[in-house]
Amino acid sequence: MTTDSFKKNILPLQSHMQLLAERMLGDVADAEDAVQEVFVHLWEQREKLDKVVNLRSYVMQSTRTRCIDTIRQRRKSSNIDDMQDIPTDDQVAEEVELVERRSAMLHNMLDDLPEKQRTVVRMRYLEEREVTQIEKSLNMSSANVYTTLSRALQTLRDKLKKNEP
Amino acid sequence: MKTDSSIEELFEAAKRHEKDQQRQQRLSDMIDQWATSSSEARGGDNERRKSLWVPLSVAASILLMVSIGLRALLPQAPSDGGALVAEVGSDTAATKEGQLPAESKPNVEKQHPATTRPTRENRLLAEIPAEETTRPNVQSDEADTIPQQEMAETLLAQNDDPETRTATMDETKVYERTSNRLIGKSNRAANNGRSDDTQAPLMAFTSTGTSATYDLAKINF
Repeated sequence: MTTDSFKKNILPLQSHMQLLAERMLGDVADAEDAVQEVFVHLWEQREKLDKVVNLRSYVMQSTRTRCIDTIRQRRKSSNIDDMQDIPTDDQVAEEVELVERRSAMLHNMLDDLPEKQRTVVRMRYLEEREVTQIEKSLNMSSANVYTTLSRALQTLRDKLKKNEP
Repeated sequence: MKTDSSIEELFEAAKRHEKDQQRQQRLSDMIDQWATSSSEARGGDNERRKSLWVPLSVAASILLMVSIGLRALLPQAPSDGGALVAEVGSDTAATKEGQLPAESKPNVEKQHPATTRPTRENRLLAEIPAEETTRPNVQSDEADTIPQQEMAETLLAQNDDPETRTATMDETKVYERTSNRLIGKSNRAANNGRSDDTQAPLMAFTSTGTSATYDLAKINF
């Protein structure tokens, strides 16, 4: 498998692997480490990946095995049978799809906001910046930032209610 | 597009999606680095192969030249056992005839039959019909079966000048055996009281090494 083919076929599965690892390990950082280790393993085995029929299943099982090893390292007496909530590949795929759908929905609603509100909301809730940083970056007062955020959230909630059944 | 998510869930999903995008970008950069390092490693291998190729090719050329030189110096090995026997036989025959053995010169004709010019002897032999060259030497075989008495008489008849003739060693032996037999016969007749006219000089010739000068006229048969 070439580098371009690896990026095209394996890299998009990163979100699935990350979500599975987070569900199994319960920690974002540990999940990131596990996914990166799986990627290293897949890269080393890339010559054999062309022969894999179901690439997504192979990648997800590799991630699952990696997470199980991490759990065993954490707790020496850990029994794999005790892990009740290991999501299946389809469950992970559904959840990833839901995340992507919600994200797309939010970005669509943000696009309808005035530019100033959109910028403040993006910096505060997506980039998770502090209000003081936003004040300095946009040369706004603290009260003006909070007011802009309040109005933007209200508009988004109204739009969200209109979309609900 | 309808969803039952709250606005907070939308933000969580958007944040997660953005983080996934960032992670994928990080992984993509890492993959590029792995690809670069692996290609450099392959390039290093190619460089090592190239650096090995030059001395290996030089060594192979030297070995080839040495083998060619050895083949030119050493006698050519036969291609099979039959050829070896035939060549040894021809060498033995040539040595008997007083010629140089074939081992002293390489068999150039077998190596380059198309480019080697045939010798004068070979051209002459090629012109001779096969019957003549293969006919057995009957005369030599018949000569061995000629009785000694007959040979002696033949040689005596062929002797034109008995005074000066110089016989070869073989002829001398034949004459010696024949004359001794005749002398013995004469002595036995003399002892039996027969005529004395056969008692002429008993030793009519003398032998001097490899050749003998004899006076057949003094022999009284």
